[in-house]
Amino acid sequence: MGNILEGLHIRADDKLASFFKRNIIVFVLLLLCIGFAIGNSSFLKASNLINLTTQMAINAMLSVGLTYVIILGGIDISVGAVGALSGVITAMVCRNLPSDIPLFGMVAVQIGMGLVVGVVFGSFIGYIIAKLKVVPMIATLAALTIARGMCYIFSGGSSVSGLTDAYSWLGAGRLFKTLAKPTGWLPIISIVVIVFVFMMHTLLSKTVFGRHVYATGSNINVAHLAGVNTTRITFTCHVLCSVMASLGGVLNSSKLQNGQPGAMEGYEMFAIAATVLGGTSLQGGSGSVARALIGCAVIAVINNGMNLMHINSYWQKAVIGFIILMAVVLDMAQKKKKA
Amino acid sequence: MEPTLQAINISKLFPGVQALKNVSLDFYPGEVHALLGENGAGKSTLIKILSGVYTPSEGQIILNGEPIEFHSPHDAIEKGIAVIHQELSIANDLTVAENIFLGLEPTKGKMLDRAHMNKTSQDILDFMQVNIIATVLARDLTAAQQQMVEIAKVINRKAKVVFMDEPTSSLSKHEIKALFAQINNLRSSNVTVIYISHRMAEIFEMCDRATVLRDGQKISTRMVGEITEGDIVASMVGRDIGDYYNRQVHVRGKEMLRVENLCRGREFRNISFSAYAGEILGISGLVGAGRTEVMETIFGARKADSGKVFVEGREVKFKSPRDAINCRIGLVTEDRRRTGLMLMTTIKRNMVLPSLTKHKKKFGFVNRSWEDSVAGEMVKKLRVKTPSTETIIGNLSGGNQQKVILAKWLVADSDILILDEPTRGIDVNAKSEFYTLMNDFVAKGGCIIMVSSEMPEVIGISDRVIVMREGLISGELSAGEASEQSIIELASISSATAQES
Repeated sequence: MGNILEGLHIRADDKLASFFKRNIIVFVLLLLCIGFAIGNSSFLKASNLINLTTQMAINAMLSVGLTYVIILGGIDISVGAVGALSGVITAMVCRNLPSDIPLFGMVAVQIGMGLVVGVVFGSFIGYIIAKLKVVPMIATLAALTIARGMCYIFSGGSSVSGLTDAYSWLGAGRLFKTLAKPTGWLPIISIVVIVFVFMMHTLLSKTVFGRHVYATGSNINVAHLAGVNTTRITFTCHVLCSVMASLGGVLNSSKLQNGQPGAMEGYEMFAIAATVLGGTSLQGGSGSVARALIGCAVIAVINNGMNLMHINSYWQKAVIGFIILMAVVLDMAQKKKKA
Repeated sequence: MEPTLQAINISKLFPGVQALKNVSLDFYPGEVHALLGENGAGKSTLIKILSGVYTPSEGQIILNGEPIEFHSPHDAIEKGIAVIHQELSIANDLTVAENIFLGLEPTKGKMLDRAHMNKTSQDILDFMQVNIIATVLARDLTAAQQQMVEIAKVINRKAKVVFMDEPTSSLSKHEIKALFAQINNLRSSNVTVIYISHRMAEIFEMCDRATVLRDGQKISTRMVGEITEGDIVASMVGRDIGDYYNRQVHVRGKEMLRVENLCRGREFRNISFSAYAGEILGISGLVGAGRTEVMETIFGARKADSGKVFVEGREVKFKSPRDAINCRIGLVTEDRRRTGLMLMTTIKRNMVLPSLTKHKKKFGFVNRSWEDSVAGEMVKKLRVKTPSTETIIGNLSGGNQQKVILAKWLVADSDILILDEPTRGIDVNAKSEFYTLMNDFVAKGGCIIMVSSEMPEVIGISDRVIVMREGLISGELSAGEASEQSIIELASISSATAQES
């Protein structure tokens, strides 16, 4: 008894330290912003900040879905390829739409296609992992290759182009056009992403389904014995992950106004990095969608800042890789301490 | 005679917690020394200090008359200290010989001298008179045989001091005997064995001296011949426990659960019994008799080959634990860490998990006000010692964790509780409290089926006892008939075959 209370007492003392540790990524983000702001005066300009939100938009879609899967203790490295596949398919479908289709119809088809491709591909991955119990890393590595192969098969190896301006509204359009800025202030892509992030965050943090996701990731035996259908939870999370990736792919394709079979190469790494930087543990059981968004911001700021400072893009890749490694090492170290 | 290992005024301070305070102990060659104490008394800290895992904050360790400092566990091993942990550290995919020589592989030139390794290992195993072949894979051995391999490892390393942490917890009576023979072997070759166990009978059978720790301090070291079990328990707890089981007279009500001819592969056959409202039904038997498997099958976590289960007279077919929970059955599993708790999660979230669906709000949202109030209520009712329901459950003691698991099923409104080894690894006080909670549940018309390997517990609290042996029910005893003797007769293999022949 004495021992327990003393034990709890130290934890109270450590509260400040643990608050700092839990929110370290926020401080890192602030420091980065301050650093880049000092290094380059155009970093803090409104136009650059708005640019930033569009730059992190697609990664945000991927990492939000990935958060679910990583909380389960799994992984999905096929998100980039699934996004590209969805981009190619959506572009091919929309190219064949009548050219006078209203904007609303175009957007509905784009989102609809994103959902369809995501659900179909996600069900495939989910079935293999949840039902056939294939290790997620291997299952999604195979899925990555399949998806990338299908991209080239469908597109015949070349970019799907010849798309209308309506096609690019979702990814490149802006609202609130003013005289000073005729292209508009508010990127539509940012609104779309915020809506999806909000829904996914609510689903994970406020619903029984979300609790079951955490429970399955914390201890799958306990969850199963508490009546949670862990197979269904695993399946559903993979579907959600692929759907978000697929929608991200549609946004990307819309932004570029084409469907490239080689698009979003290596995006899975950025998404994993953002999720882990946001404090979602690769060992499962804990994490949050909102925090993954902060992780995305960190990566976007680093990329953007390095761009402004004219750092070679090859270097940028290496830097991001190094950051991922650090985030994972920190995660492991923290877990080890607790064990 | 000079002591092999001495601890002099050892203290260990963790941030905010004094785990050990001025503990002095001597261990002599050829001695089997029991180390006793409740969980949290400082036993494991002491072992870790004496085996090089922790360095002491104060005090000195003396080995063979010379002061010594261990810089790492490896360092301690090289100086002749060995620890056999409760969870064995056997590499399943290596052979027995490879395990025995792990870290000390003999070489011939640059190459592994496999012939020498196999021969020496076999010699040791033969010397131990255990029937194990050095070249088979460790995974093909039983738990008891793996333990023998651990001992062979100790012999091979010529360890002078061996710590054994709850070595018998997963062994049958027969296997325990074999283990004791090996301990006697070690004793006669002048090795010091430090023996940690909660099982009093073993202490009295095997040990020469016993040291009791409480709250990080040494309470006493006595010759085992001069003390009684009561003395030990009293010094472990620091007071007389009185009526430990708090036995109560229950009024048996209607039949809650009936099982007919349940079979599942080689695990169990023809299991038929009934459990009633207002009773605690004890299920006794040796480890491996199939008790846990029967319970998990009733709960829907395993699939039966044949047989029927009735809940309150209606036949049920559970496809998954969800169905059992809907019929108001709860299962407290035998392994808290593996199948009982989400360790890194809060008390509250552990407690409400099975009931979330039932209490959800519109669109599947979690009913937060309900979960806050029900968790707070339960913590108060079961007297869980915690500052709040938001505390991470891994930070609680075993007894309090077990209370939270019980609360989980009370929140789920269970009428039938299946408790599998409910008091394993929790200290004496917590056990007593847990029995009170069980009695309260039954007094309100609940039905408890308790699987337990601790015979005093089965006898002390059950209204009726069913004994299992090798996948079959070998008998049923009323509270009056149940005694260590009568249960052992039904549970053990040797007496059973004697009866049959």
